[in-house]
Amino acid sequence: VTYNDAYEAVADLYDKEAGWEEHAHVGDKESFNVATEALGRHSDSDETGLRIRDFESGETETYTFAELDAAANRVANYLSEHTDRGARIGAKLPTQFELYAVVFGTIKAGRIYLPPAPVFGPDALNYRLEDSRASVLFTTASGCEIVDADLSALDRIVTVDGGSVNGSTTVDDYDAVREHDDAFDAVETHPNDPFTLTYTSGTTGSPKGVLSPHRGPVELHAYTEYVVDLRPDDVYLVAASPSWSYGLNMGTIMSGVRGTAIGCYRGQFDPSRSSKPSKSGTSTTR
Amino acid sequence: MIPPTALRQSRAAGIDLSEYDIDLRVLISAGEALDQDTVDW
Repeated sequence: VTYNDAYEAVADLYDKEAGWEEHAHVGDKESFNVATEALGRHSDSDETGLRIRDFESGETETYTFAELDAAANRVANYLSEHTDRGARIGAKLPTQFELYAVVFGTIKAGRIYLPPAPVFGPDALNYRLEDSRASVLFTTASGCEIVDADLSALDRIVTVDGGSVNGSTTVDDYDAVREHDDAFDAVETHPNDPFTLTYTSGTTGSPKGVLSPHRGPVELHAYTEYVVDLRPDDVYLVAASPSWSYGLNMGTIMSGVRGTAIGCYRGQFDPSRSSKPSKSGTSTTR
Repeated sequence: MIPPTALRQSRAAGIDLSEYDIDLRVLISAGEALDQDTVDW
């Protein structure tokens, strides 16, 4: 069915309060942190919370909700030490565990996640960093090579695999994050407070930054319930990075909100490796 | 959820879906319109 057909089919089912009733497990209309709804409330769970399929190796990494929450808390503690509430925190990382730790750690800490795509070159990356006045960038050694480390607002770069920059910005190894405590009480945020700043594609003029509020996943209830029909026991794959709005909202945030694991892939998309015939024994793409 | 480009690539690669035991309850595609030939595939 096309989106319009699906919309017509479910429009009568729309209930403005249903999102609050079914997606606000911990928060409410006065206090709502979407990272708590998606991850923090699962912090004691040893169920799989993140599944990453590597197209190069053919292997699948899995992490529990508890492991991801602890890693996010370390990021949140690191950011609390070095930045102020509302700071823009960029992550130009490939699909890996640390990317998801940064996404949730940033949001838990009441900071705003800025998602530059992993494939961005220097112009696209530095434009967004400068325009958003990002204060921290999490990236790789190759990201260090293209970032303008003299941007006035950029205080810190955290690299997951070494590297250095030409400029005055402080560079930390990701070990500086790992040294922080794995417990963190999420910052209390209002549903209307922003949790992410994404950019338009720039088809007409320069890309524009768009802030999205914590209540966003509440508003997506009808789509998630009646179109995607996402259920807690689903094996869920969203073949889109969190650097894309759909990959962030529907792939990363909504997974935990609905009680299932994030499913994603790493590497160059290869149709022959996106799913395996059942005879080889591994799960297919759902 | 698989973007339209990836679905079109898969179809163009000649993948025979009958070789796969696909237990797929819902497939979403988003970002741009999906052509009818790929929907049929």
